Amino acid sequence: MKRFRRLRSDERIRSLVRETHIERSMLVYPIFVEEGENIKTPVESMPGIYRYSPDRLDELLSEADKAGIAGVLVFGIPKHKDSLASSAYDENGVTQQAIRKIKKNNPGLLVIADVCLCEYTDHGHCGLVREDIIMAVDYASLKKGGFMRQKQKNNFSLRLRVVGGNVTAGQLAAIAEVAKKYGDGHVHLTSRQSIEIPFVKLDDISDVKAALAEGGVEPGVCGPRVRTVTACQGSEICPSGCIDTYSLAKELDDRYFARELPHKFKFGITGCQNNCLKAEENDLGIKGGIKVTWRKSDCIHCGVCIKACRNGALSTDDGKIVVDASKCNYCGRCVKSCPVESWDTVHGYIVSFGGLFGNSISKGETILPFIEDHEKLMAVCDAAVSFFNDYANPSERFRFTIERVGTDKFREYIINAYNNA
Amino acid sequence: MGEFKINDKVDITDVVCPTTFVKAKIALEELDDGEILEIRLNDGEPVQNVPRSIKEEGHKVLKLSENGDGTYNLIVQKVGE
Repeated sequence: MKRFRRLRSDERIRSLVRETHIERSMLVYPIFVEEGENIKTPVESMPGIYRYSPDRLDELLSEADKAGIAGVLVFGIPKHKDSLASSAYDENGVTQQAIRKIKKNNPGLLVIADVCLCEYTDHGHCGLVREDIIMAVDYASLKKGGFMRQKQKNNFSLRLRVVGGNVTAGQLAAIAEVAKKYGDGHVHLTSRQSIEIPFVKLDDISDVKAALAEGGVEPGVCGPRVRTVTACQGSEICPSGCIDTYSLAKELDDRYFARELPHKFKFGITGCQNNCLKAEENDLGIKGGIKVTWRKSDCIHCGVCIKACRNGALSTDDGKIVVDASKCNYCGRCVKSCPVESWDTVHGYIVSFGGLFGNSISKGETILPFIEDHEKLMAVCDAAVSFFNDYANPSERFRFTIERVGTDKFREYIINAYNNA
Repeated sequence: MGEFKINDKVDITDVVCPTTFVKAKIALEELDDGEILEIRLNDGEPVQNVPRSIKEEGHKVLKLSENGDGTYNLIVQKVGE
């Protein structure tokens, strides 16, 4: 291959097409301020950079100010360090002195302060340590990242991202390795098709994440957001399946996984009326079905479909098979048992909303007809998520939002989305 | 049942799922390609499930008829050796 690089051939063309520009006004100068007097010590790892005591800062500041840069970023090096980082809030701490001086002598410079505690603590942690726990650890963000706090101090159970209950052999090997090296050698299969690695130590969190990433495994989530999308094996594996649940689970996962919402939100997909995945337990449940129309030309009138139907929806009338639409539940048993495929079929979805199976138990309700169109399904899912996002109070599950705002209003919202898709 | 030439019969009304299908499957194994088996089976689960399982095995279901005593006769043509 020959690369002409015509856009780089001379300065004029380079100037014309340049996308990244660096101006002096975009630069920030890091300054290191050490407690004491008359200090200017070179920092060996960064040639040309010095540690100054506050009294000698002016030499540097006037030059920086004249150069027209945006500002300075102040790193203080206190003499006194302790477990409470008290120099960080000492009225006369070295950083405080430096900032006062800059503000007085060079008021035009922007001042950026480094607010991390590690430079003020004797243990070097970025937060305060109490009872062996770093208090500044943000448990909410750890939880968001799938790290579930355990009873045992400083131990976390790491939840993994699993879609539709499928995990590859390679991922399993990586998970096993991490559980052995960083956990206590076991994993937990959660009630919603995820895997958790318990007894991960706080200090190992980034190593664990890196080791998992290498094996193609991502952390899952907990807290108020879209959770694991669960699915049964579906039509790609199971003879009873009416829809490809795994592809749908991946699509929903791509579209919604970890989206921030007022409370948890669970999607579950089951392939047929056998409902192995318990669709109605979920905030939004999807159940696969088959809508059938009898095709006369191929029928051998064996009578098997009539007996295979568990809802008594089929009967014969003058040599025809009649489907009673009010009784058909789209289970597809007639189609699956027919020896000659004398049915025209549409594979589609039955959607339920507001299922709960925790402290309160409620079955998700179906308010739409059988959805035949994939785009319509997606529009309905979008509408359910946006209704929840817009109307729910913090920490309110979908079911209770629907009840509080009004079932009729919700129904109208969803039916609108369905009709307009 | 004059319309089909029955080569063999099996009665699975004396067993329950999953032995119903196993018994039918073994009877089919005894037959040659194209031969016809008559299976007597009970109402309920057997009549709902056995025809479908036979279809999934690749054989051809020809007819299901009611005997009037709570049992059915399923006529199946063996496909394959």
